[in-house]
Amino acid sequence: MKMLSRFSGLFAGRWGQAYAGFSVFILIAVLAVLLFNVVYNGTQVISGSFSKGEFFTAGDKAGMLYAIIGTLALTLFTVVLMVPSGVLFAVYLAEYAPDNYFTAFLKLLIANLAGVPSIVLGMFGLGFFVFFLGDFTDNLLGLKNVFGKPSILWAAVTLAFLNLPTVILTSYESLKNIPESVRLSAYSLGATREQMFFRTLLPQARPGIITGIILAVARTMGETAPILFLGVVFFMPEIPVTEISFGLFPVPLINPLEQFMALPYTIFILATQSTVPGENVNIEYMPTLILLLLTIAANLLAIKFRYRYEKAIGKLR
Amino acid sequence: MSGKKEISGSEAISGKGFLSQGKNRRRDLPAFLFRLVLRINLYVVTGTIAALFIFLLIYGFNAVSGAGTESFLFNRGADGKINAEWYPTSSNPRFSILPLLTGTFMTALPAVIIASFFGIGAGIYLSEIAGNKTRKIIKPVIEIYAAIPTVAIGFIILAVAASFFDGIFNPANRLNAFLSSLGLAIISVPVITSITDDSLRAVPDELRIAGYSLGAGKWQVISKIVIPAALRGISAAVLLGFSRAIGETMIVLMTSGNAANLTFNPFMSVRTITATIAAELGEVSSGTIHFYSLFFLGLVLFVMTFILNLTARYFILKYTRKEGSG
Repeated sequence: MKMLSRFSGLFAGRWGQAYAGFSVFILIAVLAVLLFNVVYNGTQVISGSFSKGEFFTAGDKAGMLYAIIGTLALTLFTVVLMVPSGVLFAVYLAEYAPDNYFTAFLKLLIANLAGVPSIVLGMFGLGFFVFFLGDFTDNLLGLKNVFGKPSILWAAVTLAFLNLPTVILTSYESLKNIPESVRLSAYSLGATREQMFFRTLLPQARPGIITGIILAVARTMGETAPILFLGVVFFMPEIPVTEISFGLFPVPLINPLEQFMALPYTIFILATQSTVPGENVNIEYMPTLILLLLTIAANLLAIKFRYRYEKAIGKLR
Repeated sequence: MSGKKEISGSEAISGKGFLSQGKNRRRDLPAFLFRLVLRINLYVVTGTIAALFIFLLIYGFNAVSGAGTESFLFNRGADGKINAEWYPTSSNPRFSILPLLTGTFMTALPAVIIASFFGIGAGIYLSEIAGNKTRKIIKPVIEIYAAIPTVAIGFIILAVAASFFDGIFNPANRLNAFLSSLGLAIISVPVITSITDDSLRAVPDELRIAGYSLGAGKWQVISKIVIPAALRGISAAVLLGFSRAIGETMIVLMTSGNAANLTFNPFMSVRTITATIAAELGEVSSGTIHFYSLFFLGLVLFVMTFILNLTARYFILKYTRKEGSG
């Protein structure tokens, strides 16, 4: 009996470890198949479209350029809104917030905001930002239907709100992980609180904060559901450019109050609403590959920054 | 508060005297402005979050007062029979959310079962079995799962897996709940893996050493000591994976078939809450019952994910506290 239980333990041990190893193997295999499929088909389609000169022509001939520009512009607008707000909020939480119930409540709120489905935030974007804030701005300025319609501006505001928890939580963690002794030694040298923050904490926390920002950027580029009703379109004859004058010279900028094209939406429409199924099934690989390269490159960059941060923090301890 | 005297370091850390140091304000204008910006930002962000909650509640309430609560569960079809259907645009509009709820669960439940099987296994491997070097390679590789845009996953499922499983299972509908759950499993896996890994690593090494010193084998230590000690964290991982799966839109919109069937057959087309919102909100005219009922669906989804996340947070809080005291 004892013998048997020992044997079964050994047997179970083998199976248990085999199960864990098998899980990792399957996960890596599935990922490899997925990536290989996209890269293999994608490169073929892209090289074909380059040789035919179709890659840069917009429209239903699968020109990718406008969609790429749209995604990059959306990401840029989002970053401009998201980074200052998120980092400042994290700085407040980590360095200034009093240790009371309201602060604990704020942290809980942020952590839960991270789990709110993106489609719900898309609804919020339409109902609150477009219909409420947009109409309100229009009324205030005496305009009609300038701000109060879906546009790249409100899409960027919504995506910034969506990604805020990512930026806040990573920035907060990277500030909190810096040992208290660093702060105290700066104070002991006579630094004020802001001198301490800007000259000792921020340089050390910077790689960690950048990690969070890059992760949020990767998510912004791939996010589809919330922008569905916030002004994304499948085809635009031209990119709406407006010139904003900064005193001396006008700067061309993508008009933030117009509709926009985006890579993920192009994938979605091509994949689900193709009129010529036989012909279009390959074309979708083109935006998919481009988007995948963008997001994976961003994630690898984030991993690099995280290692740099962990190294720096490791030295402090 | 501390108007005249300089604040000490420890006071500064504990957060006293925020924005209210009369001396500093005059002498150190940039610092004062920095704190002012911090405070304004705090109000803007908190206000927007508060707006999100208020907005969902008001719109959800509008839907209930417009259509009545019971009509969101059961309704009367054209033949007079009582049933549960989602036909918001027919001449006799019906707004039962039951088929959408079952659709959500029929896609998310199998997904979380598949993802838990592989995710927990991979978490155990990363935390307990892999060496430091292997871990440094495998962990980022599994994190790439989280980097893939969900619309790309939906497309791959549509382009590759749909035909593949069409040949094997010969399902009732080519696009069905099972296909969606495969896609949802892919996005739940990184969540479950990383939180399982974290919670296993939070188990103090003394417990493992005590196990080995009693003559236990490696797997005995893992299965009898480490996993029970980390059970709360692993439950949190599964809950968060589930929450991720029911909140996902693009994969189910593309692969579930989008027919609001009240069914428990995983090989039939279903329509989830998220896909319904995504497909219908763009075309509905604002102010109608249909419009508000979509926001009601959003509220239902929000409440479900909120409860799941809150429960998971509670479990995680428990294991981090245990670690702190142990």
